[in-house]
Amino acid sequence: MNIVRVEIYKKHNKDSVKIYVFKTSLGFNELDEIVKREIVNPVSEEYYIGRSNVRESEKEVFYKPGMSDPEAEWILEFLREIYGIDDLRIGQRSKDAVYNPLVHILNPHDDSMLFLSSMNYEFKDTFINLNVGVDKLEEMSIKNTWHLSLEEMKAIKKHYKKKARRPTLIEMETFAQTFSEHCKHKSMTARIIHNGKEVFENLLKETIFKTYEKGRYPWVWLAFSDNAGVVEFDSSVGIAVKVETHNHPSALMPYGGAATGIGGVIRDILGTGKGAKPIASIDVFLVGDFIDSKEVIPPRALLKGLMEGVRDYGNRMGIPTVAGGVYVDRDFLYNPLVFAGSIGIIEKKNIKKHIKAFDDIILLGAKTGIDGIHGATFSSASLSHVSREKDFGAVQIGNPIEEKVVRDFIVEASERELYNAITDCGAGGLSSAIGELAESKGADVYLDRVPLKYSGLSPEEIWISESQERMVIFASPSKREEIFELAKEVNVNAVVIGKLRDDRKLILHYNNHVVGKLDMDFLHNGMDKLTLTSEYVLPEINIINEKVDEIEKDFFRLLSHPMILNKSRIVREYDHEVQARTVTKPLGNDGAVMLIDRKSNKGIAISTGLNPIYYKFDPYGGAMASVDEAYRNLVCLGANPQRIALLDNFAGGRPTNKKELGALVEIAKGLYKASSTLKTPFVSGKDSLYNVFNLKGEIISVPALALITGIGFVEDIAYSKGAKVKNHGNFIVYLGKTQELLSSSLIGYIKSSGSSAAPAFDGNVALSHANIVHTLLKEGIIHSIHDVSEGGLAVALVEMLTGTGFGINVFYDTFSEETYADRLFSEPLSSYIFEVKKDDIDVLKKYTNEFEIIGETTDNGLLELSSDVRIEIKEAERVLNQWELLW
Amino acid sequence: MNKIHVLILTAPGINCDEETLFAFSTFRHVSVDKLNLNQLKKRKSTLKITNLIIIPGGFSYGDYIYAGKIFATHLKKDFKKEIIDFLNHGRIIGICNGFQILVSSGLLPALNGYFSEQEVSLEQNNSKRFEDRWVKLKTNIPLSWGKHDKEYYLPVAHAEGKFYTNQKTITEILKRRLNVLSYFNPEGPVSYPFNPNGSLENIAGIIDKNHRIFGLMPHPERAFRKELSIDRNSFDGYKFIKNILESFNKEDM
Repeated sequence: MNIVRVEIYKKHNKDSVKIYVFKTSLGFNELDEIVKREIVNPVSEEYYIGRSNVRESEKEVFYKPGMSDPEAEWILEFLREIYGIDDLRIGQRSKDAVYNPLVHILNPHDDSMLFLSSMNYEFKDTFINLNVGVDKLEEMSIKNTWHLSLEEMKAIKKHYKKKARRPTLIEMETFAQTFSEHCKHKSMTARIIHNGKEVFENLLKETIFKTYEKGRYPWVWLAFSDNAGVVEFDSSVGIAVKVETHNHPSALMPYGGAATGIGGVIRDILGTGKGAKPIASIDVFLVGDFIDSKEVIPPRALLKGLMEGVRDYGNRMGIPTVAGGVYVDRDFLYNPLVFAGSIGIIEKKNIKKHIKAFDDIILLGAKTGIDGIHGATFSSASLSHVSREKDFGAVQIGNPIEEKVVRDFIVEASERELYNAITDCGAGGLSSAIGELAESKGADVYLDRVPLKYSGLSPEEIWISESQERMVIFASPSKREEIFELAKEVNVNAVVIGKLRDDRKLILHYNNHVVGKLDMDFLHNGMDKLTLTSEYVLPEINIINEKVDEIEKDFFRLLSHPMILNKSRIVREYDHEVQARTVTKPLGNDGAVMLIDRKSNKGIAISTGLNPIYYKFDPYGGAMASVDEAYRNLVCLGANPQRIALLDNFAGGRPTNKKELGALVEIAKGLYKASSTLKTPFVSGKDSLYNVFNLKGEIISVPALALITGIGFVEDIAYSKGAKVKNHGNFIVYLGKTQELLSSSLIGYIKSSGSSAAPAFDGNVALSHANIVHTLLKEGIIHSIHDVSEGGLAVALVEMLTGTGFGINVFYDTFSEETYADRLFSEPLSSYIFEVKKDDIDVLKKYTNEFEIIGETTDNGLLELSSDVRIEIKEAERVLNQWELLW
Repeated sequence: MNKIHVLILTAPGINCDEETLFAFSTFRHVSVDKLNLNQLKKRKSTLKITNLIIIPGGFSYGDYIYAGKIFATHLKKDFKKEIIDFLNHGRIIGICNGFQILVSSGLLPALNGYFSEQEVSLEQNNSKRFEDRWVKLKTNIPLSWGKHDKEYYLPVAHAEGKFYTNQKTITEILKRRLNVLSYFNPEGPVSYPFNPNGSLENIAGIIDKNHRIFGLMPHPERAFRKELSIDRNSFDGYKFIKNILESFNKEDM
């Protein structure tokens, strides 16, 4: 077997070289012929077989052996089919190649080191002795990266004492996965004693879940009972929504982390009910401010990697990325947060899974490797600078085309009713997928039947590997043939790896050995509930006294803040229009509106709500403000305020720390308060805890917050007008609160260097404003509309003008001089700005007298804020588009 | 009026097939079928009754090696004879990735015959990134492909759309007027972002020497109704498809 290197470069630009390293028994001439015919673009490329010198300034980067490389895998499959190529690795050589020591090999001196040396696994018994002291139990849990608590270890010990045998390694791994924070959410559902007096028997049940009561909202089809929440679109079709976090892997390898984050949540949608079809993605990134740091990946590089990961996965899958946000603050330097959401269409007949005894268990999609082992338990551990080089197994590269063919299979197979139940392989791999889906029946699983990427995996590794792009279906054996035929047709691997039982035993087999035998009951109900204590005291907020005296200067300070900068360059890198559904595009609007049936005029609206600044000192208020933001964004987009559903995604530090847990409790209370007032039930949610960084012994936790995602129903897409001013000579109307302290605003935050409260939430005002706006949108008298958020009224007005050529003349004479800066820069909740024809003001008066006419649209491209502050929109655009500020 | 039989051809990673199918099947007198390469292999006779093959957008086989290349190789290896036969009576349209596939397989512009060595290339955009944006287009489409509007407003969404070739080939393409769709700025030079990718001669779409194959980077299927347009006003994708389909009715079928 020869190892042959081929270097390919552009005829006119040799700065970037693509390197193929083949393992083949073909001779030079044969390979040369293949390369010339199948690899090199004759119009623009040249190649060289052999190795040229790496210049001093250049880096040559390959993925480590064992790391999946989707590009190499697809090319290899193609070449293997036609020619005799045995293995392939692909690398890049250039000045600015991204090198991440966790996943890459730099400048390999010998190409044989790019290939995985063949591994062998020899079967051995793996009984674990739990008959040891408390110290040893704890040590054992840490050493094996199980992250099981002492209480959990003790309970397992007791369980096996009763059984009069020792647990096997695979059984212990199954407990570790199933009991992990990631899979179980044991802290947020624990018994919590808050501030010494308030007692929650189950925090989520008494707050978030309570916003949805069965029967109260008949349009909610599934809430907190499947992979995603499902709300009604029409009598036969529902909308499935799910948002996840992928923080730790993204912090270590942003490109792969963000890509597998979006890939994972898309599988959640594919695995909802009996299969939903993904139609839109959401992405939200919170990264540190732009300083260089040796301990972590610098935030600029991180942000770029995250964006590229989402882009390359989402675009290739053909799912438009239509909503999200980028937040930049020093709080996220060590603990960046990455949220990924997916929205899908589900037929009503498919919303319920059927778990039938003796059905086949079929594994679909990618082969299994050692990637992502202990991802579920890893997500409950803290990061440190060492993680950047050590936690290799927790990071993967996504293979979007593999997931696309799996999607194609599911869409077709669910239509033809070929299977009875489906779920995704996410955290915990097969152990969680089968462990959870087969809970009511039990199962036999034959681990030796699982297709592997390479030899040498132990049964434990196969069972808990988190290799991406895999799904599990349960199907009647009578459908087997049809399933395999379809799978082959659409290029998907499908293998029967087991069978359901009817006695609630989970039995794991490997080459005729029983390697594990678990009781579903103990696995899912064997642990006592946790009791935790929490406390929270609202700190004194340092209200700024510094007046805004130079409006223009502060205005431009806001525009160039990374929170305000125009993100449309990112949006354009995402294919936000594939599938031809995106009516209101995420370019300067408050979210997106999508068609479900391309012929109809009905649609859905998607938005997010989050301002990390508000959460910082006031988690309760921050939570309410986030709900308000997601809600008012949907209202701006034309959604019916009576048909809005929400998702919560908590991110926090250590639940074992009273104060850090206390902030999460406050958030849960705030979310409950706001959403029960607005009648916007929560239908899905997730919590991501242990966002903790160990900086040479100092523990840095992320401040607790919750991202709110909103999904609304738009009866007629004509109601969605977008945020851009449509004509000159129209009035600009403000429907909002009039006074608010600058302390709860971005300008206040900038000026006071980091102290801020959350603006006050008034549920009645929020409801009333939403209903007025919705009525006016239906009346057709609003031509453009935007909400007030970061940066206040002034920034909102600029955002309505950019790219239009129009201007706004603000009627500043009618404002009191004293409070003018407050009016321009404060961020009152539930506030809307919209454009109305002058003649239509009378129609407006029929519904309310609360509004104020604050200006008039012009055709001069100027925003006139006062007699001496006249902002050229072209200049504002230049500032807003300063991409070098982002990367 | 005879039915026009449209075949949408896919492979792993093609992802605009659903909306393309939707757009074409809303016209009366059109029947649309969708097959992937594996399925077509078993049903090659379908090509005999097909009038128009459409290869939609997406990332076929991940666009690994380079855009469209693996699909092109499969096409060449498994369907060479059938496609050449098909082109005697039928026509092909490639949209975005479909265009890249046709170019990579030597079907466009085919100055030296079908499936000859690749003559032109769709290279990485000058901006070096994927971009989704709406562009103005000027048309110069021969009547055999329908009576078209002078201008269209359509979205492009790609990372590799820069039309590129050598001097000899571009001269030949221009001489034969095969550059039927061009990026356009009504008010000035066709610089970025009007020409979104740096295409030679602002080329957005070409036809082959025999006028049987049409490849274009913009996505007409995404501009199918005015609510989908960024200006909420145009529906040029609909017009484009309608005009193309009308040319089939005039053809002897």
